[in-house]
Amino acid sequence: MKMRSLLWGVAALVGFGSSALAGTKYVEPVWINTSVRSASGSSADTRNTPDTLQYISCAVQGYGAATGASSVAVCWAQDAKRTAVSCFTFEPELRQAAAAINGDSEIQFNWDASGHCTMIQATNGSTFAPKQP
Amino acid sequence: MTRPGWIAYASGLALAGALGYAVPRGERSVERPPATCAPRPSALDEVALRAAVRAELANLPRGVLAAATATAASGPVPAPTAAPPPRPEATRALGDGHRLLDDALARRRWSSDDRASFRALMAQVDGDGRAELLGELVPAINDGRLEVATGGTPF
Repeated sequence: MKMRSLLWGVAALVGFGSSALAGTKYVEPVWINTSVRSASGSSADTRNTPDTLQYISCAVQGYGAATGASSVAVCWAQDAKRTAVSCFTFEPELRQAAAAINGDSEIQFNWDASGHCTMIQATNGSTFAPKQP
Repeated sequence: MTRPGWIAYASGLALAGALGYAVPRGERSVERPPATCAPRPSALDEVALRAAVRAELANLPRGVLAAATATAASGPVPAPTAAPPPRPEATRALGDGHRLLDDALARRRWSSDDRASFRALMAQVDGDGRAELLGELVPAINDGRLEVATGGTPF
């Protein structure tokens, strides 16, 4: 009797565990298309890839009045094929978008021929996994 | 009617016609309200008003009136002055930045040391210099002229 209860308990735990893992999930390592000048990837999925090549990030750099106050947003990414891309922008709207990126965000950025960012997107949602250590 | 009487009659008719009384125009006459005029202020009111203005002006803080007078006398607003010349340190840093990029492009490699130097120089140049250096580095990475060998962040 005791053994049967234990088995039911294990089965229940497995069942609950499965339901807790439900939900739409995206796995999105770095994707780069130089033809359309676009890069995207989930910060967490990129970090969780087994290779040590991929990365995707954005930063907002601020410079003080002593050198002419300004701030610039820069984004960069590299995929598993070692294709590296980047962009920069002084536009307030794009800097604001870059500042919305957090550690588990899905990031997308586009750029033009001169390297200026033309779009920065930060998606924070349930579909993207958190980073593993 | 005697001749002078006729002439006087004709002259009266002409005058009345000129004034619009004799010729019916077929227009509906519009009743207009009688014209009213604002009462003209008396001489006493003007004197009182001028005295009040003088008193108000006398009570203004010193400098306000002078500033207002100067503003009015200065004419159109002058055009903005030209941007100040770049600081020597910024000019030097910009030159160093270009040399750093030229060296990296010759090696076709952007190393961690390059990145560290670039960051330091970016903090010394002015806003235009930052745009200039980024405008050189970023397309070089995107075009594959520079291999990013920093192990991550290229900037």
